[in-house]
Amino acid sequence: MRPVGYVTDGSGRRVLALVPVAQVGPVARSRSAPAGPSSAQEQAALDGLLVRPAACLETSHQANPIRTAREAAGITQADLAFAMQVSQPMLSRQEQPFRRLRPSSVQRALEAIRRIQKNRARPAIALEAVLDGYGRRLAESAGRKPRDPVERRLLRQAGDPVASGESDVNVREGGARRRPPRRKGP
Amino acid sequence: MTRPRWHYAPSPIGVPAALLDAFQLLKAEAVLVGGSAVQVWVGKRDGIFATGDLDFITHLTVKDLASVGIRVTEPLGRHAVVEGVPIEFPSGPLAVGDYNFAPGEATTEVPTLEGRPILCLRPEASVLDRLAWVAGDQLEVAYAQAIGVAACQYRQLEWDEAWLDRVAARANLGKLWRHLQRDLATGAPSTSGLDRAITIGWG
Repeated sequence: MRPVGYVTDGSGRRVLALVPVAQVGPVARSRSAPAGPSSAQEQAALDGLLVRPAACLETSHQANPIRTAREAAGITQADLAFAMQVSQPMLSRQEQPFRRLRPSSVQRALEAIRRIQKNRARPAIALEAVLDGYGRRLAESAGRKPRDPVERRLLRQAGDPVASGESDVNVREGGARRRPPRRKGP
Repeated sequence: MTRPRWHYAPSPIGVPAALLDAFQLLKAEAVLVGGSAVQVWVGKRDGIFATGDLDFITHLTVKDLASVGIRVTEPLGRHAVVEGVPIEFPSGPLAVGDYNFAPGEATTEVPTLEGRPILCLRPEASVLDRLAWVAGDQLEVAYAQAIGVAACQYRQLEWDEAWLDRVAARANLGKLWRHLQRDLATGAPSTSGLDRAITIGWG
């Protein structure tokens, strides 16, 4: 089925018709646009040109997969653009109907939408209650924190209560980072 | 005027202005790490989240700070006191466990109290940083801090658990991270979760 065809207007010019004449009301038509085929011959000629698309090209739009998924998830364009670290105008362009999207762009957007949905569904945690539940163990373990002796001295001089409560036994010379033990060779 | 939108939900942190000026002057991309990064993501400065110093991973040394006119009290290698605040430059690179982060992979900008942006370890990386302490030193307080960072940030738009899964495995923290995930999914992490976390170690 062809979506467009040529028709002859009132002045005898051939014009490209994007929308079948029959689907456009008389008010929407310009003066020079044909109101209808003027003769049976023209009608016969138009039959081969004026096709009957399944939907009007002006009133229906091809669903954009990013926009459809975003709206279904209830996410604003600004939020999705922010999460994808692209500008909102850029996302807006990607969301236009008939936009030729790269599969990777769609994939990236859908992954971001899924991630946002998953994150929003996570349970809210009452942190204070959790910490209260852990009890004294936290303060005791804070006292075991290994630290560089120079750092500990500076912090104590600055009145840091955590460093003041730490044991000098636990030392981390030079502030070396925590690494897994090396595996023994064969 | 609209306020700038920051990634995740950071709490502004106090950093001496002279230090920020020096970073700018010396073109240093210093990254806030450790306990002060935890404060940014949890928004608390007391109790187990109290920390007396600011840790920055940077190529700079204390000597560099003095060269641009910062009055450094007691320059001692990686440590300095700037405007009364103890500063540490832990040895780099930016890493967790055995995994070295690629440039820009583990950082995001956060605001200082004055509204200036500084680079900070992103919250997912901050969780792994705390888990490294749990694996290496069996510190319950570090596990609680990891819970705190995750609980305060894991509902944000940008929180990326797929990244965490990938990096945790490479950093030899996969088991601990999966345990923390399960603990968080209950909605009410318990002492039994803490007990188990301390026994897991690297891997």
